[in-house]
Amino acid sequence: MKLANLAWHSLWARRSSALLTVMTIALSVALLLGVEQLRLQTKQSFASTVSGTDLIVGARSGQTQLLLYSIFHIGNATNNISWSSYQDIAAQRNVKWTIPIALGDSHRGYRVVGTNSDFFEYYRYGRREPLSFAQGNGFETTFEAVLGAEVARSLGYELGQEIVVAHGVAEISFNVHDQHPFEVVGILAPTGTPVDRSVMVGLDAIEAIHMPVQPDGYTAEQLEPKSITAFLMGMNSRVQVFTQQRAINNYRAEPLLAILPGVALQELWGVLGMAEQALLAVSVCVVLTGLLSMLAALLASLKERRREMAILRSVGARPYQIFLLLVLESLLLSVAGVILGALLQYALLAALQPFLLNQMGLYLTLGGLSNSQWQMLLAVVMVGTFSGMIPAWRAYRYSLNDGMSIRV
Amino acid sequence: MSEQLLSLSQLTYSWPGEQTPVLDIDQLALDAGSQVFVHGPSGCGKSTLLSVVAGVVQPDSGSLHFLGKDCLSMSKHQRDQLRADHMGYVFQQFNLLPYLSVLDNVMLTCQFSKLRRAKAQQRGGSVKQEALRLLDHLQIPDSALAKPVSNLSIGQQQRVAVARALIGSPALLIADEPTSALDSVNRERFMDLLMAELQLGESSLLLVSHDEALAERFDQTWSLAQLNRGGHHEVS
Repeated sequence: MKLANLAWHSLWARRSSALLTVMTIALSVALLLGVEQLRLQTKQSFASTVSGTDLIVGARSGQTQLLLYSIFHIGNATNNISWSSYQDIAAQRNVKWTIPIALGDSHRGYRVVGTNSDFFEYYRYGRREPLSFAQGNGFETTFEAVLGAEVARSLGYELGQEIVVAHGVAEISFNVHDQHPFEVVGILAPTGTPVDRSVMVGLDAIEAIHMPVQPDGYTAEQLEPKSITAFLMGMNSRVQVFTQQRAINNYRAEPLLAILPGVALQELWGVLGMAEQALLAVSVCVVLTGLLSMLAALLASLKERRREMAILRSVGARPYQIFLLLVLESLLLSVAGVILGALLQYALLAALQPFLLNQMGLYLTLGGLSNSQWQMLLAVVMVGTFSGMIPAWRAYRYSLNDGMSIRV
Repeated sequence: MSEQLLSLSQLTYSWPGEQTPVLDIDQLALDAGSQVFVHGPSGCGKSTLLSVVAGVVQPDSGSLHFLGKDCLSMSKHQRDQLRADHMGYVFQQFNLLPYLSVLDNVMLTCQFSKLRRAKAQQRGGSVKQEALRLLDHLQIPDSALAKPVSNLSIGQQQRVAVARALIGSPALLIADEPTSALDSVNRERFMDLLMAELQLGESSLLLVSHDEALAERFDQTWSLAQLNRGGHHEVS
């Protein structure tokens, strides 16, 4: 304890340079923790995009591609599924529910999802949480729409708002279906999934807006969909999932693909995860740079502190105590840096939170540190203390060799 | 005849990698309670002798006894312990740790030796009381106690160093040119206070200086130029 006290006083006397060292470590630690936090949360929000769905079915393409366009609304389907095939499969005995999805239109850059009321009933995300309405309810007649939370928030829409849908998915489209305005009848609560950035309308509406205007309305036959982009489905029993998947993949009438969402998500994360690993590696390097700067500062101060070592020796300090004194200093610096860094990380994430939610639909929760983050902090302190052994060793050698003469 | 505190014989030492020994001394002894003045020109091995006596440098041959113990058969750790418990050391200047207060500098000694702490408590009531008593005796004004060490005059700094070296009544006080940075007025004052404090305690004094005017205050004078056959003074 007496040595810790000495180390503290010695650091306090050099507080301006010590503070710089602590700040360097703190900034690098904040970066490391922040990147890890982002990594964990994107991974979690990614994995919780869709749950409770046994199979996703689309036209035959790749597993990742189907997942990307049907769930994440990234890219486009190369082919559709005919309405008859969909109806055939949906009607099978062991199928509990299906959610049809028709993509291809947009509203001011947000995807329009043609579906039916089963979407609000069966879609699950996170820990099998159902969708819930913040305001209003599902669509009942043709030209009604339900907005995802982010669409409503960023465009400032409320219930009763009239919106028009454009063909294609670009933000600016020359082909606007403006003869068919929709009325907003419901706004969903935030989910942290791509649903937040979608506009949901009925399948019949998708058909209607692609037809010329008919003043006397449309017949039910006219509004029956010809095809859909994909559908999600749940089985009565999970045991049937693989049999069903095989059956769909060998479907006679047209080439289809059924995927297990969990497996596809894993595969996709394998690709995305690589970028995050790279980011993590960079921040580890930044932390090492921070610790190196501490090492440089300690080594630079060593020469002028040779007198201090001789004085301590003269009052009876053992060489090992001088070694410990310097190790303690680097321990104190690393611990201070780590604590400040953790606080800084929270400040940083709190500041970034609105931006991430707006731009990336990623809702950051600022909870306690994860296990991996605690391990990182521990590792930083250990590496910091360890690197402090280098100047400590030199001080130890000095104190043995200098004898009772003071060299400066 | 009083008991011998320190005795050394046939002692040689050469710095690592050098042929001629810097120390080559036949016989020297210091009685408990006596004060010895060691003088000689620079390069005659004064500082080396002090390092050997303090136990931070191990002689190549010979014998060295301190408090009846054979120092050369001791481990490094035991010699460190012996120094911490029984010796005080005053350097030429810059004796104090700049980041500790005057009081903490004096009490620092007691952090490294239980024996010194116990003795200081016994004598002053508490370590702090004893430190204050010594500082008072050495005429450090109370107003200086709270100041940063660097604000003290050099004379004051040297006297604080004496207080630190003497707390816990060590058997031997070693001083390496303690007055060479002082002007003549401060030098006299320093020596007066040092000698007065030694009278009160039980400590012997081994003081090295090239200022021979100090010699008259001491019981004994060692002229290292004559006693030491080693060293570099004969080369020139």
